[in-house]
Amino acid sequence: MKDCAIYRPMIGSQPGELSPAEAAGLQAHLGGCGGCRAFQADVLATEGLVAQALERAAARRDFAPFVDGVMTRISAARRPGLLERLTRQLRLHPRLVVSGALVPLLAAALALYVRSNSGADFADAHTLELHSEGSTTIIQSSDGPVLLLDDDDNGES
Amino acid sequence: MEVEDPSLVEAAKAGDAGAFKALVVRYQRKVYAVALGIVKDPDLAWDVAQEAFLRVHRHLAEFKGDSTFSTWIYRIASHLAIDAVRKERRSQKDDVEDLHDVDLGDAGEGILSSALGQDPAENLLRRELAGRMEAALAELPVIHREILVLREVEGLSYEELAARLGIQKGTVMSRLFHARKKMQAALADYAGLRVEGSGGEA
Repeated sequence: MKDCAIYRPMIGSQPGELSPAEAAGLQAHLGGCGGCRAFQADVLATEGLVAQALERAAARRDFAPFVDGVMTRISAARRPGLLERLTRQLRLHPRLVVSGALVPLLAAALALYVRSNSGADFADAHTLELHSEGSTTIIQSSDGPVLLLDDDDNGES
Repeated sequence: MEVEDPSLVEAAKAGDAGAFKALVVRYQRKVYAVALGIVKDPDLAWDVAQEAFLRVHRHLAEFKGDSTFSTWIYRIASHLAIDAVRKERRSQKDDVEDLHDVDLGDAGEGILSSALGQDPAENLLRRELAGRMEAALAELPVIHREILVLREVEGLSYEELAARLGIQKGTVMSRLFHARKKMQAALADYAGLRVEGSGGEA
């Protein structure tokens, strides 16, 4: 039994996998042990069954969508980041990208301008003085008087 | 005429998607089989197999052809499959190297070889057993499934198995032995060839 515990795990080895001493010991043991010879016969009889069974399982499965699934995953994995996409677009369409980038810049500048001007209007609103002289309205602003003429005066002048 | 792997690999490296697809189609079933043998769940095996091709595509430029393409893709697939079951392994008791659960002296040796006869390759029982093998394999602990698949499907030597699994050669032989004994016992049971001491008749 002790020898079986040593040599049985060596059964099923391929040539060159055991040391010369192990191989010689195994051969000597097999010569005198019916149980180990029977196990060796079972190993040989079932050799290749695992591969055969798994290949049969694979053969039962429909692989039609497999390759497309792989290619889809590759495309998804290769999707570039924002910076990479911008850099690539800049290389391909520099004018378009510069123009595109100008739009939000101009929009931001316009918004700032409007906001600062409307702020000034609110500030000016506190200093405005209105006077009416006949059909003419005079607004005293910080920049000087502004005359608003009605349509009749405007038409005559 | 079928284009050889190295030509397809070179074309795929140059960006030929058709060549890469041809490699996928050529090896998809075998890669799936390797993964299935280890992870045992068909959907997870499918995912692992696709991921293996994804990794191959990502690292194609680094493939120098020192090994064959098939060896490379099977190795990646088995690595991924082993990684996929690693979490499962941590939570299972079957990770223990169960050296004493097979009775060396009374385990019904020879039953399968006797039933399979002189020409097992052409035997009807062998075909039936192959049909049962998937279930038998699924019953094995993961450490036994993976070593059987690496040995019998990938064809790794003891030395390669030791390196791949990070174990000694003696442990490789011991683990393979226990894996085979359990697989044979399961197959004999399926085939109605009861192992002595298991309560049935031989």
